[in-house]
Amino acid sequence: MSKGNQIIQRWFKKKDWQIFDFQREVWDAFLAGKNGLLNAPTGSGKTFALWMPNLIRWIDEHPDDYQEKLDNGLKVLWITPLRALAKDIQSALQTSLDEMGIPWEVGRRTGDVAQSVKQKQNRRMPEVLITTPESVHILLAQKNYPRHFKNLDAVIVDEWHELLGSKRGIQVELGLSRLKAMRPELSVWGISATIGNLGQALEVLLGADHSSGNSVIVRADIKKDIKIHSVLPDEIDNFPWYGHLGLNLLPKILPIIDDHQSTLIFTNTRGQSELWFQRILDARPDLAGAIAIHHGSLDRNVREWVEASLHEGILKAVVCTSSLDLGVDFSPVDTVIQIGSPKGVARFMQRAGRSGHQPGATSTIHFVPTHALELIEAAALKKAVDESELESKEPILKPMDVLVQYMVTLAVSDGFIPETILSELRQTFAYQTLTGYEWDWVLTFITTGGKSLGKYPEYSKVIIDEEGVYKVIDRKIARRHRMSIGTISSDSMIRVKYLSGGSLGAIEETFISSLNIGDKFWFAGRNLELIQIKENSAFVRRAKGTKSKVPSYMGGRMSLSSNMSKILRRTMQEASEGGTGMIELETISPILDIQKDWSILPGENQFLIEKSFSREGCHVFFFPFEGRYVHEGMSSLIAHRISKMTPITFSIAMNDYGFELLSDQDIPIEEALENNVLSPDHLIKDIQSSLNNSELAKRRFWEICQVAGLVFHGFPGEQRKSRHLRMSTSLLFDVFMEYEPEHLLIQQAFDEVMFFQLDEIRLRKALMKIQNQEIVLNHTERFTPYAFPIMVDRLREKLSSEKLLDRIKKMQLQLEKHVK
Amino acid sequence: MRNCDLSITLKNQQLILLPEKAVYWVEQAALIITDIHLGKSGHFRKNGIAVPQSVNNKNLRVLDTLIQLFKPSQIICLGDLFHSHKNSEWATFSTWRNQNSNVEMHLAIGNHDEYSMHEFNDLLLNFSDQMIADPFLFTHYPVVDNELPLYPISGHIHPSVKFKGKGRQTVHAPCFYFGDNYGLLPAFGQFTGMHNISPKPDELVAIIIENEVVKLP
Repeated sequence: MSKGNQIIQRWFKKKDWQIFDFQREVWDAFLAGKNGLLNAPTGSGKTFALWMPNLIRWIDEHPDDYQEKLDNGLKVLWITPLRALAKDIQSALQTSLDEMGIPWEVGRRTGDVAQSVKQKQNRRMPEVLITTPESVHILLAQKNYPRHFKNLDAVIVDEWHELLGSKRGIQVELGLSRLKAMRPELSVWGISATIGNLGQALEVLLGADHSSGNSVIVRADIKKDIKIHSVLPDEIDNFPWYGHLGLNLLPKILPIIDDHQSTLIFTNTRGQSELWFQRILDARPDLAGAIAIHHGSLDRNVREWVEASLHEGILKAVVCTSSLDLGVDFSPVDTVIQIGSPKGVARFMQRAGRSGHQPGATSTIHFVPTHALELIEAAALKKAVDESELESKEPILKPMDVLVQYMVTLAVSDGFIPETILSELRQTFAYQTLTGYEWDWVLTFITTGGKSLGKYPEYSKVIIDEEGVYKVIDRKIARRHRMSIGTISSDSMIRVKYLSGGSLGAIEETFISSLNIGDKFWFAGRNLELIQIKENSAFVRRAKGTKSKVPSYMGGRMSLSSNMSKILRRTMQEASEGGTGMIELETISPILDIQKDWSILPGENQFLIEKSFSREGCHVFFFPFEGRYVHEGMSSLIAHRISKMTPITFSIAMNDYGFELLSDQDIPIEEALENNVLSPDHLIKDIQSSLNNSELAKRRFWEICQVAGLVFHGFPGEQRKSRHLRMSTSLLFDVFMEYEPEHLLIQQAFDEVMFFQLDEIRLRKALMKIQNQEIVLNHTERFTPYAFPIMVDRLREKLSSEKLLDRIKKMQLQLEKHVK
Repeated sequence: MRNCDLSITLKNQQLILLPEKAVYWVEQAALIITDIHLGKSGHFRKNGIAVPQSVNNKNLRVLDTLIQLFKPSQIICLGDLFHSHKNSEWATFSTWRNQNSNVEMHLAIGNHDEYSMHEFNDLLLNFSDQMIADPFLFTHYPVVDNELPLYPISGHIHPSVKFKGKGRQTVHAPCFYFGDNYGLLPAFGQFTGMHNISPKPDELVAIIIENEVVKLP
């Protein structure tokens, strides 16, 4: 056994820790020069599985002076998706180094780290750098960046399943391609929780290197025991048929908090977390100080305080959002509460796993339905976890916006020669099929702005020097670009500050601008009054009273995963047959009986359509149970097809179970069904021509513009108004559509709508499935329990084939209150 | 006059309301427009916000079409001709003025124009706070308490009306408004936003919808 191995073993022994088989397996593979993927849940010892082989290698290479050698340059790059995780990992790694007497330094480089620290790193890199995908690219945008990486041995990508399938994942692929070109012997390893397509996850991480046969997947095979409890209403009769807040079960939550040492309460949105926090405090003032709130908009200091307090076990409960989905080890947390549908099995299990974080411990999660039908989801989740059916993460292919950003990044630093970079790009999974046309387009776009923007110097960012090197020389462009690196698009944020000083966090500008001075709102768990808005800060003071608004945050609503949808349907089938013995289904049975009475309970082989009339007009409800995204596509498809039959105007609403077409006139659904309105034929063509599509594409284009650097949020202290940015991207969209519809960024917007939003593959599958189902059209007198939650949704899409003038003739002039 | 236009009589004058969001005053052979916000795109771009210039060009192209059609002797602009400080698109406008120097142009100064008044002399413009052309008084800001025996017509508001119908339908449309005390014209410029107004039942309102001016009953 090598010296390194011996020292590590001794260290484990001293800590009284056991070395798990999977850890040893990773060490051996890593030291044998293999790349790979470790599949292990959080809290299983995965960090040390990939950290130790780096130390073993170091000790074995310098058996005599491994405790003396200083200034070794950057050896290990540790990429994590979450800034909050970086600190934890840093201290774990640094502790092990200190205890073994290895004089390595572990540094962090994320958006949170002070500029002075980063400058120090620029002069002398620590041996280990923990960072985010964005920060890696910011490093690549530095002059003479290769000097940082000349000693680099290994890159570890933590929580790879979180990055896969996102543009941040693409940034990782691109960063790795550049690093591997500089350091051909680089070890590349990922760490991933269990997902449906682990093999592909490895392939994406390694790109072309994957086929060399020098890679391996190591599975920790740690089965976490998860206990699921459903929180049930005492009387289903009083339980609402719709809603997403779930506050009426609050009295049942309080005892759970009391009975446990520390509880995490997961909500699906930031607004919901604010509300819940406030209501818990109202109900239990004695918990003040012992409960806290945590979400992505809160100030970093606030979040860090909450995380540290959780870690130390001094908080009884924390109301949070997906901001605490990942990472940091909160050992004292012994139970988790999930409010409302988690929309996917993997997310549910991940959240459950936040309790009982230690290896071998049991995780406990309580599911709180926010409306009656979610009880079926509760039953479905129980089954899913038992059968461990997990979702896959589909990788993205060839996003042009990320590529444009990356090319400008390289041009900002040392410049690049196209042939070199092209061959590196083709080694990545995402860009392996990049065509010559696409590549030329990217180069033209960054050097001239392309066909439509060609005249403006602002868009000709990159120049080609005499030696054929692509470079940015304009310092203003370079500065702007460095500040805009990243792929997470967001609304402009306004800082929320006390008049007396002290920052609480940041809220979307759209919310703040909807407030008047003196208005009250809830934020960071406090009731606040708006005093003034000045230079991107909203000044507030504590307020009293109950009439306060809760910020409504931007950000998409999540959609049911395909897996979840499948299990849900199966559970419904079982519910319709009865006798499952599942408490959730028994509780909801009175409501299911009403549904059966007024319409039917659709089984797996039935497709239910309900038609009814109200004062508002004609409603037709469809129930595919495929999730919001698929319904978005399917509803506009069907609306479009009906609107071709007759001039008609629809307003469209949807949830995860179904969708509604509403019109002021009779909807000829009977005739439409005879014309096969649900057919999967001409799907793409019909979707493309449904008006909705270009609206959706426009929304996607907003993000693409930010990533590709077509809009700029502004330097600190002089941020642009989101409204203006949105207007300008919408205008760019219109201009490209008119003059240059073949523009690759426009194409990408439409592709993304198909891929992410409408999920074309799922949509097609869903339509095919309907072809084999019995279509049941029921004329109902009242809105059924299935239909009601959709009907009350006020957020609606529109589609019309009527002449506007004809529509207006049927309408009333709406008088505004503010008479001018 | 085309089918899409609407002719009205106001204070014994014939005004033709055009779906291009302009008015042709027959007696004076005057084309009346407001709130073009020229150079808005340049202003945004200069500040890092992408807006293609073709928007400006389109505004001027529409003006060209109207000049060809009505052969006005003068253009009256009720303010906010420019969006902000001088930028590259001024040159485009200046060229356009020179090409159309036979058409006189008057500008009632608007809030956005104040940035750049000292530059106007180069642009073949007459400008002032208000312009009297009996029986009308043209201003940028609406005149609420008018002491002159004139009917004020102004811009600035970008007026529109909102309709609501069954099936949760709503429609917004820009409009011309001629009330008892004053008149408002819709903004001529593209992407300049709208502001809903609430006319009284007996007041004259004409909306622009699908390239047609339609009088509300």
